[in-house]
Amino acid sequence: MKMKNLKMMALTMTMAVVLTACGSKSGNHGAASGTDTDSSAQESSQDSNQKDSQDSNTDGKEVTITVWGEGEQQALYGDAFAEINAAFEKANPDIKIDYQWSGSFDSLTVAVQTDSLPDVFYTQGNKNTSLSEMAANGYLLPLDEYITDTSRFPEDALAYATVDDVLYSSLPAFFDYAVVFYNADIFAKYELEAPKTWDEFLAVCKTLQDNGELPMAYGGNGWLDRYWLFGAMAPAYMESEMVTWNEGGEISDYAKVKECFADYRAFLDAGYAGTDYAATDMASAQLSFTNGQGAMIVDGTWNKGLYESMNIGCFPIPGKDGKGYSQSGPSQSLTYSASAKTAHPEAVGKYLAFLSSEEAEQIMFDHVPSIPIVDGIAITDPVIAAAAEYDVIGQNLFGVLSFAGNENSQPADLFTNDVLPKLMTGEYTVDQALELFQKELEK
Amino acid sequence: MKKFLAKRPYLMFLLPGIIVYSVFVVYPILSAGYISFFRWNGYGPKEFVGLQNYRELFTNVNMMSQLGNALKNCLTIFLLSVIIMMPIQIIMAYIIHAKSRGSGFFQVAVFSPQFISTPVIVFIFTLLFDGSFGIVNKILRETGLGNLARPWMGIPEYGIYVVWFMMTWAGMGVGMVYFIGAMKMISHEILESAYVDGAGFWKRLWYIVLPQIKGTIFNIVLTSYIISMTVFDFNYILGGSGGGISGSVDTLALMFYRTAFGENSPLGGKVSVNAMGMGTTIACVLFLMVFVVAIIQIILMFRTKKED
Repeated sequence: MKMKNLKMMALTMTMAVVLTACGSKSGNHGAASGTDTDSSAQESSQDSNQKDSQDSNTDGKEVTITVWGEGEQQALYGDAFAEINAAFEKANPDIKIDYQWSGSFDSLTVAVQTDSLPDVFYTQGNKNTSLSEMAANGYLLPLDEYITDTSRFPEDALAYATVDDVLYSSLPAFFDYAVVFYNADIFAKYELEAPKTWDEFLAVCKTLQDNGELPMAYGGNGWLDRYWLFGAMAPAYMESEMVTWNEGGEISDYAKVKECFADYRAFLDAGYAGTDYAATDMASAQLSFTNGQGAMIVDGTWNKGLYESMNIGCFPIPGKDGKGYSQSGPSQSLTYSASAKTAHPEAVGKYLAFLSSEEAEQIMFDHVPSIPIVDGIAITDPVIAAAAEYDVIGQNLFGVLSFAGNENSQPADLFTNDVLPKLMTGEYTVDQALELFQKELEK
Repeated sequence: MKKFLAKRPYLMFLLPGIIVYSVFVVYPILSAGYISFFRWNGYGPKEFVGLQNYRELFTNVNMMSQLGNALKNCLTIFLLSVIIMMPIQIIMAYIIHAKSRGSGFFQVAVFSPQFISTPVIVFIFTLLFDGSFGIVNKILRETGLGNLARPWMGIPEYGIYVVWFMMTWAGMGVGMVYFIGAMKMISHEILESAYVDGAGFWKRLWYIVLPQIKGTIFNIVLTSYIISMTVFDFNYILGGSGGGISGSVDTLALMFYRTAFGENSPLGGKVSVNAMGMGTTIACVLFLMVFVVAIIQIILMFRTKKED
């Protein structure tokens, strides 16, 4: 009996090991693991795919390309892409777009590992290192021969979409960042105007508070929710420090960083964000703002549509120097990459070129007004026009910290999951938070 | 081979199940185990590092702190389930089994949340407990208790209890149905003779029913353990992949997810150099924690059957 059990176990284990071995072999191939054999196998597979697809494109047969949009943004970009895809299909009757809102960071990671990337998928460009990782490992279709005219785009947009001088993504046409939206009716009631300096900003908060209003609807519960206020403040306080970190350098004087930590804490201690911000998430904060329970909210320009029914205004967060600070961030609304293994590179190239065209940009702008970084799109929305009146394009703190990390340190993770939440709740003093932050950056 | 199979025809019946099980259960587990021996970011080449990932998980102060906190939260859910939820399930099952008035309605009402998906459950609770539009807070404000109104769902100190409460609300009926099934197996003669001997409603539960369903109780305890150790959805919705402020709703499954896939962010980010290697290491440790207990369960079940 025992012998039989052992035999059964051995059989099961053998099957499992064989399955694992098979899986790992294909995994290595898909991952283009860097060995000569894998690389050549992948190249030969790509060559053959491209040949096939070129044949199918030239003989006028209808092809369908699968596109993974950003799942979480379906509500925001859904109508725009319906119109963009319809316009593309009208101009290219032999290409059909199977647009699916199934793209997420996780699904793309899994698709890479299982060698099953769709023809086209949304990307964050060089805001995320996954683009360069995918490019370095041969997963992406180079787009230089398809998107030939890049002269309309600024340097930042090209840097966003390029890895080692090769274009791997359609180009961003808009810029968005976290601004302070304010309820214009409440501001009018107390004869307040958009502040120009940090001190004026605090004075506005004080006036609102003294009149029984909640100055700032702030969601501090989720890591990204709580980030927006601090992320908006960061360039106004420590722009030069962030530039240094971004360039891989180190700073010796953390005084401005400390000042930023201290003023963030002081803002909360003054009660300008109420008392329950730690238990409130962004959705609740947005709801409070739309219900008139908060006079201001720090939110992305892309979310301006949420406040469409209100009489709102907005301003970039003001620094103590009287300048309005934005945070750098090309919008990913139109940025897509293509799989190196697509069977239809010509069709895919046409689609990505279309996404980088003025026609697609105008459609996107009509549905989701943002700050254009290319010529030819006029801002008609007064709120977006106000958002575009920043003086300085500052650094994006999260991006800077992400790239400042190395094998031994993860300052972005530490900051978002430990330093900022505990500074917010008062569990860390300003000095404690700064010490941890500094230690991680100096690892 | 033919002879071998002719002598063991049952193998042909087992084969489809074994194949499906191997592909969808055994293979992913072994595959994860295999990857855990590598340093791998999920994109580039893998580098074999042996047990280095396991060593790092248990020696790195930050990783250990996260692991300890997540384990503590999982065990909190487990203990609350066993100490509070299970007795309630047994009592409700006993009331229904005894066919008290309205027990049919009661059974359906308690079991029905099982059909609601997790995001909807969280949404229902948000409608009740949200700081600005939650009904509970509105009632508090209307009744002059506005100072007690708070965004209950997001208070970090209560985070793991909120998760447990929602899980209990949703899963109460499942355990209850198991207990009802076990109670139906109890001989009516024994219960009737206890009744004739003067044992009341609660005495019968204590002295007759509970000893008779101890096998089911044991199984539900172990099932609760497995569910508690692998809980993900409620915590992810409430606290994101970071597990909430100070890891207030962090769990082992969330820790795996966060390590393997990183923080999802429209702001961008960086692929960790060992995301998949360390992520699968955490998954394997979690698997072992559950597997060992499951093995104990199987051994004890066989032992109980033999004794019976």
